[in-house]
Amino acid sequence: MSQTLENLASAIERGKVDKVSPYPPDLKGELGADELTKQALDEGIAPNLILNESLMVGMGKIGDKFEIGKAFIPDMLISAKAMNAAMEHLKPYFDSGDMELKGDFIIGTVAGDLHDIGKNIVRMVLTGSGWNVIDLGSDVKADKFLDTLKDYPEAMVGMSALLTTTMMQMEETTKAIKEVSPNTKVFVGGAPLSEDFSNKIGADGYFPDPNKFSKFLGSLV
Amino acid sequence: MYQSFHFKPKFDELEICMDNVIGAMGYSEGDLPEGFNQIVDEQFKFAKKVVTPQCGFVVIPNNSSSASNGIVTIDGIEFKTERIVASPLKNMSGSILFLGTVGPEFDRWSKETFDGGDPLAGYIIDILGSEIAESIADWLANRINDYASENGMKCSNRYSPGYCGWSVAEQQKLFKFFPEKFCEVSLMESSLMKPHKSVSGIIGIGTDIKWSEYPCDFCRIEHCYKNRNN
Repeated sequence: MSQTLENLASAIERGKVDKVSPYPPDLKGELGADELTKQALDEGIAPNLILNESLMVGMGKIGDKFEIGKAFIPDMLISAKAMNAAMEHLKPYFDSGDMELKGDFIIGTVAGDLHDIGKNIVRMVLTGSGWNVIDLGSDVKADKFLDTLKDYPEAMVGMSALLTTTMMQMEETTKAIKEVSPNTKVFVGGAPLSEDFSNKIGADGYFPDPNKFSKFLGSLV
Repeated sequence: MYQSFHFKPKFDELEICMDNVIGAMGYSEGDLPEGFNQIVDEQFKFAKKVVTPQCGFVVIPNNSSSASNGIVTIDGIEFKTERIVASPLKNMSGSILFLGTVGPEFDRWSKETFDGGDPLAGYIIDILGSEIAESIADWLANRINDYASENGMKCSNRYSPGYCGWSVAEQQKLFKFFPEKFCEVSLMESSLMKPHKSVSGIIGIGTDIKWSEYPCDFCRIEHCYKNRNN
């Protein structure tokens, strides 16, 4: 791996967004993901290589730390922010078709629930992993998921809930989706949920953290 | 009409526990990475400008509140709260229904920060908002305790729809007891409050009621993010 790609992976892992960003303090004044991605492109490194050999590596490292309790949501968020800064430079290659997104992913917090932080974190991690994420926001009724699926028929769906009382909406929405589109994969997440609950409502999986989920989705492509 | 009390506590009167904020971010005391503490401090300072606390309570007269078998009845209206909430209220003779909020500007600030490209600050603001809302509810609980003491009564802990198996949908019934536009909090069709960082609930009062710890030990919900044993 080139030094630039190594530095870029490190910038993503440490959450160094750009040169002027004050975090992390020990990297003050150093180049961040923004500048390093541009530098890599200027060096003629292929966008696909930048994504797979650097950005994903950095995101994977912080995600692995998250899984074992050595990093927390703020660490994931600052890395995701650095990742998104890098992805801005790669966006033209996605738009032109030189690079392909992994697929479409519809995400929303279920009806009755306004807690969207967890959903936003998943959105950022998936966007940074090369997915086209269609974010429906919070308090999303089943009809809205179904309407969006008409526009993105190949999409997978992710639903989030934080309240034990609103997670029951997931069952209704999952049934509605499966009735219209039995092959659409539906995933659920949120603090009060469990694998058992996911199985019970007929969803295709429950994931307790965004990194595991991103890895799993990547394995489906 | 029920007797009601309305307050606008000053931000500095609230007992906001920053350890709770740091804990909710996932870190133990002293483990917050260098740089993050600065972001927390900055957002906390700004929160002081954005938060406009309001809170209040209505008094349900004696002999019109009861609780048994997972049902709390307030002036003829039944709340299906589950036993976790109903049991500690079983000896109440009256009840207090309360409402508190951080004010309308907070939601906008939180959303704008998250969507505006600073998700870390947005996340910290969200956690701060929850903690501030809880501190407003605690401040109000102290006023309610004062009210109960003045009337020769004691208080239960406070319980809110959306937790301990008490459906958030029941907030619709709870709000019918409040005066119109009480504390400038409204209820959405989905039964969630607007502003989002608001707390409503019930406190039982009476001569025989006891304050008891939050009943997380008895709850069946394994992954509840409010679990105080985690």
